[in-house]
Amino acid sequence: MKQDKRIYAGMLLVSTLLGAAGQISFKTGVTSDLQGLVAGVALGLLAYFTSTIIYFYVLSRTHLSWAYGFGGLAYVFTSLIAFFVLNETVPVLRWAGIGIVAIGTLLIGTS
Amino acid sequence: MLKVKKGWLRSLFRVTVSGGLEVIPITLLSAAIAAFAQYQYKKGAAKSVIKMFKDKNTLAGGVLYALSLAIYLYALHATPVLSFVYPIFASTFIFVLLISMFVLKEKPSVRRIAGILLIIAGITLISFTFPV
Repeated sequence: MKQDKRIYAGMLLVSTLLGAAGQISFKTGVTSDLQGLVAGVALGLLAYFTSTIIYFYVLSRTHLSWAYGFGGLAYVFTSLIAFFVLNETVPVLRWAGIGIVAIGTLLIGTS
Repeated sequence: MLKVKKGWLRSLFRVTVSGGLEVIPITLLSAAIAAFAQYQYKKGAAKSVIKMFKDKNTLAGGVLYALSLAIYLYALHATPVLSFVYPIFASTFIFVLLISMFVLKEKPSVRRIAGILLIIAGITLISFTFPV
């Protein structure tokens, strides 16, 4: 049972990271030319689709209240990747805002 | 001050978006449409998957989702800063709450309202860090 929990948490983490990858793909697409846009959006949608399938799979297998709250991490992960990989400038005030938004979605997800 | 950047998408829409603050209401609009898409999905939810896919509400939800994505991509194109635009999209939760309160007549829990207030506070903070 404990092992199952760990596997589900890992799967949710993968699902959230895939969602973040989708966002990165969207951004790369809209800042590119027409071909890049089509590729970026298609790849982003594929990432989202896979992410959603994994998410629904876990939700159907578990009644853990924290599973719904994982969505909030998406904002943090996406911003972290945007900062480290895409070299976005993220002011401290924005990090604070992102953190507060994430806590808010966690609260809603687990209510 | 209008700064027209090169970009085929912008010329396609014939809107001279300066990459200004209007990205915030545009993203909020996209989030609101996504909330209505979720509402349509909920109306279309049936016990069998096939029934759900045949449902008109589900179809309407799909169309709304596509529209929401197009507007979101447009916002991201105008202001290509993920750490700014994406968290603003979390406002979907606010619109979902409004729909559940005023359309579905549901009474939200204290915890949910607290979460919504945090999201509003967070988006307000993020708004102050507009990338120039």
